[in-house]
Amino acid sequence: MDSTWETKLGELNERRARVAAAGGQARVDKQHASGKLTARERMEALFDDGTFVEVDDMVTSRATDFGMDKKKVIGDGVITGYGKIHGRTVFASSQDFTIGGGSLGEAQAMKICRVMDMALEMKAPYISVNDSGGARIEEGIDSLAGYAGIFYRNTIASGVIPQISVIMGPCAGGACYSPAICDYIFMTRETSQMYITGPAVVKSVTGEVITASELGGAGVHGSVSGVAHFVYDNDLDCLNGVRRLLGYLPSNNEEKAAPVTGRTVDQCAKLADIVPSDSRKGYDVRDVIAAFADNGSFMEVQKDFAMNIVVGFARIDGRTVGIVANQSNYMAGSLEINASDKGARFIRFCDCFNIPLVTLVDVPAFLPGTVQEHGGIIRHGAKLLYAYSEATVPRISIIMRKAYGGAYIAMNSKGLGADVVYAWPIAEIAVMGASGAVAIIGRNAIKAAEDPEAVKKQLIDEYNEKFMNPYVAAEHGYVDKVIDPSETREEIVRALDMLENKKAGRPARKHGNIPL
Amino acid sequence: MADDKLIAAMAVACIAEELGTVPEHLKVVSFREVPDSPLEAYIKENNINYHKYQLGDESL
Repeated sequence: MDSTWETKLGELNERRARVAAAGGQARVDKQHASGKLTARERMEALFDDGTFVEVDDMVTSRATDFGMDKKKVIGDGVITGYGKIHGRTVFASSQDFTIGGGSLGEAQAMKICRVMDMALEMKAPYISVNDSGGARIEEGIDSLAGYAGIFYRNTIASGVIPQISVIMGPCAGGACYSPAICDYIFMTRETSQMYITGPAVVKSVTGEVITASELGGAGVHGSVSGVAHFVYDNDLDCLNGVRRLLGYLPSNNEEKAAPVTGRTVDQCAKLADIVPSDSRKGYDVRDVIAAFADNGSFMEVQKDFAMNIVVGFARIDGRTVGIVANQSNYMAGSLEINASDKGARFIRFCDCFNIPLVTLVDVPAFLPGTVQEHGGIIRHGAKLLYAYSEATVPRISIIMRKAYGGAYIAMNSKGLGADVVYAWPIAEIAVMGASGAVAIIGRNAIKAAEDPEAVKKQLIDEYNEKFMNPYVAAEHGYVDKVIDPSETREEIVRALDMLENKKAGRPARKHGNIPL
Repeated sequence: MADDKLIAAMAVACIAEELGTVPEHLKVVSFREVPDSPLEAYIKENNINYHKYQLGDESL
């Protein structure tokens, strides 16, 4: 090796060292002290060992205003690249808070947009790790244009490749809209915040005094706003959560999720003990899911938000399915605004990515009241009906117990295009429960009776006998088969086998107009 | 040092087995100690109990 080689390689190594040093040891230590990993450590935890390949690592800001020419840092505050997760290619960006607070300027946005373009072109998932103070003010309109480019790409890639945002620090202002367009948002419990306007602006505009965590912490977004789909205690657990989620998903909308065989024990024999025959008694529907899904395979989405509906991914005989279930233990499993939104969004994701849907029905009604009506339950509830109706993936329903009125229709009924509808023998499929129905249809008879209570009881018994069973629906073709609960898993497996090559057509159109 | 030699011999034997050959047919050019990555170092320094999730872990 001659001296020129030595000089040139020395320069390359010096530049590489600057890239690896990020914002310097002091800032890395500060990042660690606040309980956060660095951007590069996060990529190492996210990807399979030794597979992450960084691209554009030497891109640097061209900005010069406000002294920016003296603040240039190689890499411009974001790491971008690709690697393997479970052996499949995935693209990612990871904002580096140790460099200018991870603020986004023209060069950083260009790096992110480039890796998003690569993900879309290669039809591979895109993961965005967010830890940034927001727009780089010194770069003005160029940083805003950078965000616009990211939002545009998020939208174009929606439904084509899975997009996941991982919030591991601040995510403020317009920056929130990229995660919001993505399919899933992960947050870390103590170290992440998302808000359009921060506590200082809130105080100056409304006078309200509130902390960043109270305003937009993971607790709020995981349980109140529904913005976050998954919340984890720390960076490592959170990135493991992302790895787990990706295991359920295909790489793009033209593929199916890869099967994963694990231990499977059919525990459906205990379903009759889990679900009380008395429809006024509650139970945890997650116990029902655990009984028929592959062992430990259920990954719940938005578990602390709109808990009256349970959604998530599971495997049955190794195949990924999306599960939508009324939660009897919470608000008796009734549907309301948030549950409708949560269910509809999940159903549409599954339909985008060829994931069959299994719906567990035990629903008394749409929740009545002025809060719901004035909040737009008509508009929100319609999303659930719309999402099911437009979905072309295999759709299986199991009516476990109550299935009343409009809520019955909304929960993947035969009329909305369900492929296979099963019912357990205790199912009650009717317009409404017996006492409510008799109060309406038997009103005159009860009023005219010498013994109103006796007549009421007689009418309720008659209604129960006639309607509160699955057999009328089965006779009319709205239920394909009444099954013993112990047969649930094997029947779902058979249905999934039968539906494996389902191809449902829809009329050509630009896109539908879901009520938003 | 004896331990290091034993470890190196075992490593060569493993590589030979993977390649479907015998250790005598392998020529070792050099051994280099691979330093901990920043993440590995952070995990060690902070005594963090960490296992990277692998597909199917949940069924174990």
